[in-house]
Order: sequence, then structure tokens, then C-alpha cells
Amino acid sequence: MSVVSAPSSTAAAPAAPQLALRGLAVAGWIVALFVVNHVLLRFLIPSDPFAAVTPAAVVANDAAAFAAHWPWFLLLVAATAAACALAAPALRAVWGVKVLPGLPRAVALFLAACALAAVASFIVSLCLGVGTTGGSDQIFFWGGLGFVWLGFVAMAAIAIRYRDGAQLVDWLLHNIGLLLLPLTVYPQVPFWMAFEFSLSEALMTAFTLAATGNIFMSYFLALRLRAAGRRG
Amino acid sequence: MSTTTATELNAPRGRSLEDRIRVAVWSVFAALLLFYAVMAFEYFFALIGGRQEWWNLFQAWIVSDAYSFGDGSVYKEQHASYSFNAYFLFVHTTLGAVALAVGPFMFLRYIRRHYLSLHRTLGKVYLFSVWLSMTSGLLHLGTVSLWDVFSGAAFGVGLWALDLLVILTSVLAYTAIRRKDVRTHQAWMAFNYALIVATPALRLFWLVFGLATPDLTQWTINAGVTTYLLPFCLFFGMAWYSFEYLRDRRAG
Repeated sequence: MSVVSAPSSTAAAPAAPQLALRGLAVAGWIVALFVVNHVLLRFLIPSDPFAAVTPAAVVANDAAAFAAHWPWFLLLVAATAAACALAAPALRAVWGVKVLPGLPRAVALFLAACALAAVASFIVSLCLGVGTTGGSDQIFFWGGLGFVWLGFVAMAAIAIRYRDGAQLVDWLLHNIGLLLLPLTVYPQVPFWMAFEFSLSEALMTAFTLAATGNIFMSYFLALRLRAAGRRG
Repeated sequence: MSTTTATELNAPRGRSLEDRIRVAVWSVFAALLLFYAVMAFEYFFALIGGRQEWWNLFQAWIVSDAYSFGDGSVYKEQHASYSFNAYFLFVHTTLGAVALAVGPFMFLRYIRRHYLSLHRTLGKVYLFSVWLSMTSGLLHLGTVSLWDVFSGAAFGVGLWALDLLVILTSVLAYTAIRRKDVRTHQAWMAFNYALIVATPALRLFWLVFGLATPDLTQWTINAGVTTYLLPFCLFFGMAWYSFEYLRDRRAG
């Protein structure tokens, strides 16, 4: 399938909901900046939002893990930030297209960034030790996230292979759901800590609820959009 | 006049191989689920009867006695709590086992097409089992502190969320079919069954990581796996729905 720079369709393409896509673009950039700040700067300057409740030994272990494996952390951050920035253009490029005439460049770049982030996530899980923030739960989370995310990218690729625009939009939405995890994980951590959860318990609860919640919301949204007949 | 759609023309060929793969995958999946459903069904019969549960024995045989019965195991950490709430959990696991066993047959296209009344009957059995099972699970959770749940408060919150999400998605699936919206019904049933399958999937991960990481206890493995278990299971449910959709589009 050829890569095309502008979408076209054999069916009339309904206008994408501009306000929602602008909101998504803003959210994408916020997450991109947040991820860059949190994952990179926390190792360079003490900007970790949980530094006040993290033991000094754990902070030292975090820094040691980063120093030893920084290229993978950097790849994870760069790919996630790029995917966040590309999410809205990718969705706009295939919105309402029933039969894909080609692969829009924004979609190809978005999925490539997601795939890189997923692989980096898996590798980062192997680089983290049990003494880092979140302990072994964090290792399981990043490894599992990488595996599941690659599956989401693969399903988007299958939709492209079958030239099914509606399926592709569904799987782009699900990928975006995973991509926006920082927006739902981080606000939850202080919330659960207010109920006397330890940092580790709060992180684990936030990971569990955020990942499932984001997927549920993206699925709900995809089904509602179909039911409303806005796309094929 | 041909009714072939553009999607059909573009679809890759080789459906017979695809069908054979589909049947093989379904058979393995159904066999594993039925195997686990029998053990889940037996679990609280054994606990109430004062016998050792088949699942714990099987897990000890696969991994080790220390992993299945020692410090940090479900057996050692939760035996008192499970015994205290045995009747809530009896309803939870036996009806959960019924739902697990019925589920694979609900997704068989052949039954849906040729034996619709059987599909509807199985669906009612499934929904009844799920609602009662999840309600009794919530009643159990309501009687214990979050910190007394296996693996601690985070897993406790996860179980609350899982039970409520199972009930919510089963209601969404039911209301969709009452509106005769078959597509949405299928989508929510796939999501709902993926949540139900999280229970045997967690046991599978207990076995895999119990073998792969002998230094970790079942408590630690359970806590870690929980962080990605539901997305992992949901992915397969969502992927199944996508493949069914693509198959229908290809068939026109």
C-alpha cells in the first residue's frame, strides 16, 4: 500500500469533529511535555513529583538505572512525545474514510512512533531494578504495557492491510487511549495516597485503573461514534 | 449484477487456512477455559469440605509446594478470610466457573447462525451467572478491609473495579441486544468476556512467572501482573471483535 500525504475516499467523508481533535492535539502536547519533563528531568534535576515521598535509596537507584540505560529511556520519551504530537493529525487523516486508498503519512508516522515507544517500554522494564520507584510492580507494568501496545499497533496495521478505515480509526483511538495514560495515572497517585496508600500501592492502583479505564473509554467512544453513524 | 464490495475485492485470499487456524485457536482456548472452570467450580466445595483444592495441588505440581502453600501464597495468606466468607465466595466462584464454561460457545458463529434459541438460552445463563457471581464477589470485598485482600489494597481496588466493570459491560451488552443492535451487543460481550477471562489468565501468569522467577512469591507476582492483566485480556477480546467485523465485511 502506498503512503499518501492527503486522505481521499471512495465515500463521502464526514467532517471530523474539529473541537475534539483540537482538544486531543492540546492533550497530546501536554502529555508530550509532561513525559519529557517527568522521565528525563527527574534524573537530571530533582523534579520528580513524588520526590518528597520517595526514599533516598530509591531515588539513587532510579538515577543509577537511568545512567546505565539512558538511550532506552530517551527512546521511550522521544517516541511517546512524537506519538502524542502526531495523534490528532493521524486521526484527522482517516476520519470518515471507509475504504483506505493509501496509507496517510501522519498515520504511518504515528504508528511507527507508537511501535517504537512500545518496544522501548518493554526494554525499559528490563532495565529497571526492583529497588527503583514502584519496585517490581513497575517492571511488570512497563513490560506488560509494551506487549499490549505492540498488539494495538499490530491491529491497526491489520486494519490498514484490509483497507478498512473504520477499523483503523477504532485502533487509532485505542492507541491514543494508551498514549494518554500519564494524564490519568499521575493525578490518581496523590488521590490514593490521601487514603493512606503507600507510594508503591498508589502507583499500582493508578496503573491498573488508568490502563483499564482508558481502554474502556476509547472502546466506548468508538462504539458510540459508530452507533451515531458518523463513520462507516 | 455483482454485489461484491470494494472491501471484498481488496481482502487477502486463503480463507480455508484462516478458518482452520480459527478453529484450532478456539479449540485450545475453550479446552483451557473448561479445564480451569472445573477447578474454579471445585475450589470452594473443597474449602468448605475441608479438602485440599485441585487448583492448589495442580499449581504445586507445576511450580512448587512452597510457592503454592508457603509464605506469600494465596493458600497461606487468604485461607482464614476465604473460610470466613466461604458462602459468598462459593457463589462467586461456582457461578463464575459456569460463565467461563458457557462463554466460548456464545462466540461460536455456527451456534449463533443455526441455533439462535440455544444462543439466547446460553446468554441468559451467562448473564444470570455473571450478575450473581459479581454481586457475591462485591459482598465479599465489602466485608474485608482493602489491606486484607491478597497482595494488598491496590489489588483490592482492582477487584472492586473489575466486578463493577463486568456488571456495567454486561448491562451494556444486554441493553444493546434488547434494542436489536447486534453489532454493539457483540462488541460489549467480547469486552465483558475478556474481563471474565482475566481470572484464568491471572492463574496462567502465576504459573508462568512462578516458574520463570523462583525468587518471587505468589504475592509479589500477583501484584505485578495486576498492573497489566486487564489491558492484556481486553486486547484479545477487542481483537476478536475486530476480526469478526472484518470477516463480516468481507462476506458482504
